[in-house]
Amino acid sequence: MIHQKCMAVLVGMAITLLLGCGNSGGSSPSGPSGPSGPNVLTITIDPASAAVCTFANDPCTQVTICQPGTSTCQTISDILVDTGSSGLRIFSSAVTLTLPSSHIGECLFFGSGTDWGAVHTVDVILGQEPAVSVPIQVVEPTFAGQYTSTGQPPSNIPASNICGVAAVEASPSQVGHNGILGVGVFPFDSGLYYNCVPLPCTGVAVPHSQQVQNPVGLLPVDNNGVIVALPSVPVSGLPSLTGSLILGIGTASNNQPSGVTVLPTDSLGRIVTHFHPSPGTSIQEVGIIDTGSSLLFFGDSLSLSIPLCPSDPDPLKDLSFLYCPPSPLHFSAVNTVSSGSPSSLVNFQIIDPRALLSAGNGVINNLGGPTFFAGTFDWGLPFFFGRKVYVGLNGKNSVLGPGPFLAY
Amino acid sequence: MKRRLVLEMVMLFSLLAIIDLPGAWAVLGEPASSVETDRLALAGQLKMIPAQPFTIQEINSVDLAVREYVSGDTVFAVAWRGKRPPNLVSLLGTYFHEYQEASAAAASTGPVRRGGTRIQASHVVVETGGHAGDVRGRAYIPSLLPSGVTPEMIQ
Repeated sequence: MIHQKCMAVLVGMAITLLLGCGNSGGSSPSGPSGPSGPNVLTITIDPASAAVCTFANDPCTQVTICQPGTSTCQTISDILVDTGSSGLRIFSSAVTLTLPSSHIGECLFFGSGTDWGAVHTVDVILGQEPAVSVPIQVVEPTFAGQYTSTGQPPSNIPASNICGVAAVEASPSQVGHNGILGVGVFPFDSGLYYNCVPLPCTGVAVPHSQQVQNPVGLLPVDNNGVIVALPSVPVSGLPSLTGSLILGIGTASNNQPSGVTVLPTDSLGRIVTHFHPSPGTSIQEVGIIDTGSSLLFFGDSLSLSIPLCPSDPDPLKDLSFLYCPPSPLHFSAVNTVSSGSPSSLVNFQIIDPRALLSAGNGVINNLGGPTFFAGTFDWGLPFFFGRKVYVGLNGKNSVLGPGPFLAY
Repeated sequence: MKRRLVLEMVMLFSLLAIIDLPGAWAVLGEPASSVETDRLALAGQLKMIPAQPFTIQEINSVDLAVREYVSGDTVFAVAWRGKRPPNLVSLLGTYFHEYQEASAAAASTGPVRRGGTRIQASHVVVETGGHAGDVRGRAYIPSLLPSGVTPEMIQ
């Protein structure tokens, strides 16, 4: 089962790479009905057809990377759009472009995994914007011999485990994307950097200019943030969905905001969410708004009395991290900031997704699951359906005010 | 003794090899006295938080907060929050190997990507979550949880 899936993924990747080799242009600007322009990247959720982005509710796009200062480039598809991180990361197995060698490695920690690999400064082309020179992470477990190709520590000697975790992300097929385009509110990432020549790798402080960072912040004009624009999704779900990642806020005719609530974030990119589990009850929580989360993670099964989906010993089939209510449930929450103003009421629904998933729907609204850590409300992808969400970069100004902010 | 020696080697290597990654941690399942080692390794502030029926020893450093849950004289759980996790090799001690094996077995997921990980190994449970720049986690030994203490209380 796993083997067959991997084969399919490898064949798909090979086709993608063949198509991408030597392409010095950018990605196609838009979907059929969405905005268009040089500052628009198409977002696609189509797990049934995608080569690598095969998980439901994973918004993916493509980016082009080039050898520095040249027109020798490669367009790489199946890149997850992530408003919860910063910087571009691409698995080495998806990169055919020859890159200059790098001494610098990075561990970057996500909630669900860890990326290890070398940091390379390349030219990145987003949409049809001018190329920008920016450090990216080439994710590669075997870089500097630190992990095996399956992401395991090479031996049981603890000292050889540089990121200090049980495993690092191993391959595109394992994680369901060729890479991640982190377009969160902060320009720089939060990783640990190492100099790996000569071995052993030793911790090193690298200047901002050499750290992995959101390439959007380096664009000449459309550099103050992004807009994630996804169409609405019916309660019955959809097989696929096309939307847009628009670069810049109020910098072009296609990214002018109107009628939005602007929520400045705290120093960790968070807002305040007052969750109403039942009428008249309100719980103040930390809110995040994150395209890299496939569902709404909130509450817990016990206190909300929502059953979890049944567990399955096969991890490929296990859905026990999702809510499976016997009938659709309606909730509301208010997103705000610590002062309480402005604020925005959000109504949402949670359904049992099993029939929709088995019917082949790759786009599912109303998908929820418990958070491991009480007090956190993670507005994942269902929040973005039918909205334009503005992500204002820290250190930049826009018609919506200075970043960091989230607005919709 | 051997485990302690390995731990010291880990500390030495880590301190030599890594500028700002904490070098050693109170090992899950070991005496509370090891918390002081952690405070020194982190150059952090230690705060005692009495609770019932356990004590929380919280260590805060620049970009990581670690809470060690002590009952009697044993660290039965550890929770963390910050830009990065603590080094789980040191933190889990001899439990790290079973955690690693259980993680490898659970590496594939589908058809929906999870927001965090929950790894149930033979003797230890490790849960992680959050997002880049604000990661969270907890590790605990179910058999050592004092009665009335639920995993949700560890955070």
